[in-house]
Amino acid sequence: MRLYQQHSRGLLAHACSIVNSFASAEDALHQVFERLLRGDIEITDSPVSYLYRAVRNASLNQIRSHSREVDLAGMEDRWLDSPAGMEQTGLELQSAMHGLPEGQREVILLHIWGQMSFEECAAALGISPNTAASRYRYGLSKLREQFQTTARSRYGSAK
Amino acid sequence: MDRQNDEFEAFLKQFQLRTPGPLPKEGTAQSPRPRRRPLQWILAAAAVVAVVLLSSALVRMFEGTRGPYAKVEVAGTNSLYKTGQTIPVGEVVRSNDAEGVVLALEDGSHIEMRSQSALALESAADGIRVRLNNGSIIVSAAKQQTGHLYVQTKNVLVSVVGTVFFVNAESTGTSVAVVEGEVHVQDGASLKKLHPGEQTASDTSVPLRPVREAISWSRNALAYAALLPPPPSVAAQIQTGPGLVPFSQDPASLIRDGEKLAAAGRYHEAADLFQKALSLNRLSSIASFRLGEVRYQLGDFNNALQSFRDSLIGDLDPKWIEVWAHINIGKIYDIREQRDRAIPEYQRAISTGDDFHMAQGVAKGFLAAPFRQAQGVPSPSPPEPQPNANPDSPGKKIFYRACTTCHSAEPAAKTNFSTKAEYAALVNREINKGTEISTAEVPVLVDYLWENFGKVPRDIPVQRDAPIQRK
Repeated sequence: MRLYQQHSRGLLAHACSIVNSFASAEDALHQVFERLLRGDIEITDSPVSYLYRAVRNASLNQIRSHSREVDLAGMEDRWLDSPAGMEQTGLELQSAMHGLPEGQREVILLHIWGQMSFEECAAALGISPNTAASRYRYGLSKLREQFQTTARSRYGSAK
Repeated sequence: MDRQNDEFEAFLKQFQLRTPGPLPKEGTAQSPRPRRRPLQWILAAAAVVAVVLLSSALVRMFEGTRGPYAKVEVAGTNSLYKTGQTIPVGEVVRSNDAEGVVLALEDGSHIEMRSQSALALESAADGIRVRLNNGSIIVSAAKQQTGHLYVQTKNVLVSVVGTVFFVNAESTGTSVAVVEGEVHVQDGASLKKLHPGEQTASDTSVPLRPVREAISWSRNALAYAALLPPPPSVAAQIQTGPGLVPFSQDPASLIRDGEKLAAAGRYHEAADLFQKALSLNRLSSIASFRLGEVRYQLGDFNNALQSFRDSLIGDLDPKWIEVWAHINIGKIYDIREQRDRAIPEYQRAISTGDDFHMAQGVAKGFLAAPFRQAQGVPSPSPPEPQPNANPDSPGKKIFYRACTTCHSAEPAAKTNFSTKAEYAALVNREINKGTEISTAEVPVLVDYLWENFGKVPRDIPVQRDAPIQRK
């Protein structure tokens, strides 16, 4: 599964940008590849952009089908591994990420954690590289501001 | 992109996206790499979970029967199966659709399969065997008089004697827990009997999660949770009766139970309940405050401090939390001999004007004379200075004053960044969190961190006035 090895990371990042849950993102990713392997679907055009579209659709299905589940534990499903001692920051970061507009969030996830260039992000998302770069720039600024605001509200009041 | 964004990008890159596991084996020609499962494995979809309710009627029905074992009751729109389709013996059922599949047995029993699950029904000598290849299932069955229902995974064989249990298997092993009744778990030569609320794993690397979490994906999660007994530690203290809210769904009762445990000195168990309450209501100031108290009692001052701070940004219900949170924060600073930080906290406590439980007198007392920690409560040991740290360097003073207030020096010692910019970003982040570091102190502190913890060849003298490296 060359495609899986090459693209699983980026596709997972893409799925995480939609579902905010590692388990659901991984489910969506596996679903797409399983169908591909079973021969249920055939890729006629660019495989990369197809995969991203398929993972996006599968992720949206995950949201729909898991909306009835009850999070008894109130657990947050991490999709980021945090450095030692920064687990809470990691969760806040995840939360801040999901406060971003979807387009910006996608590009940030793909560029930073999917380790994709803007050209690759653009090809995967069906947008121009310039659009990808500007979404990234705006998204990053917004994320930084949002993250700092959260941090201030969290830690500032005790000062 | 401006410098702040560059630094923020460097900060973001400290975090790593978790690695996706290999594709499920049924579909893959080869596995890309071994799967790594995190602690929160139970919410990951590839785990195998089965809850089984079984009756003898069910077993009898299958004994000597050659007919269909099950029918598809619910199938997702993209499922391989159609509602009403029969599933004969030995056929592997795969719930690849995101919505999963529900199988109905002829006596009214049900097997609920999570997405990405695969099982086959087989005849056993004294009943029926569900061979669970992968994925998650929950089985509800009617009562039985004789025979068994088995769930076979690659690691263990679980046999149902009583009523409700679940099996959870993943690539590294299998865990089993009981919701109601009794199950026998055969793991190689060892046989374990499990009762409600108990669980076991075939391998120590398989993390065990509370049963409620394990079944939370089910359509009937709340009903199953209600079947579960409360944790034994508090079971005796929880009143039962009609209309009882499921244990994990009521923050107020969790807090009350936690308070009882804390009063009995069972701080760890109390902390678990307060955390659970917080997971249900993050803004509960009282849960944060109580968590702070038990952490304080456990000598976990870093987290206690955080909890008291959290209590101040919650719903502040009841109101006295504000005054007492400030007093407790001040006490922790006093324990750490950070008098300059303790005093403002006592002043804030006094400024609230709240005299609940003589808070004003206590705050004024500690304002006049520092709080002294009672004997027996452990204090966090100060970090060992780095060998190449100048004992009197201004950077070190700033570091120990500002950076070890909320945590030990260990996180900084582990950073090992390869550029000074990353330390600048780190300091910037800490300032944003509220750490008191003046603008003039920033470069001194960054230099100190870089020289002492940075990944730099030690035989090359570090330029103190070197410009901050850009990415």
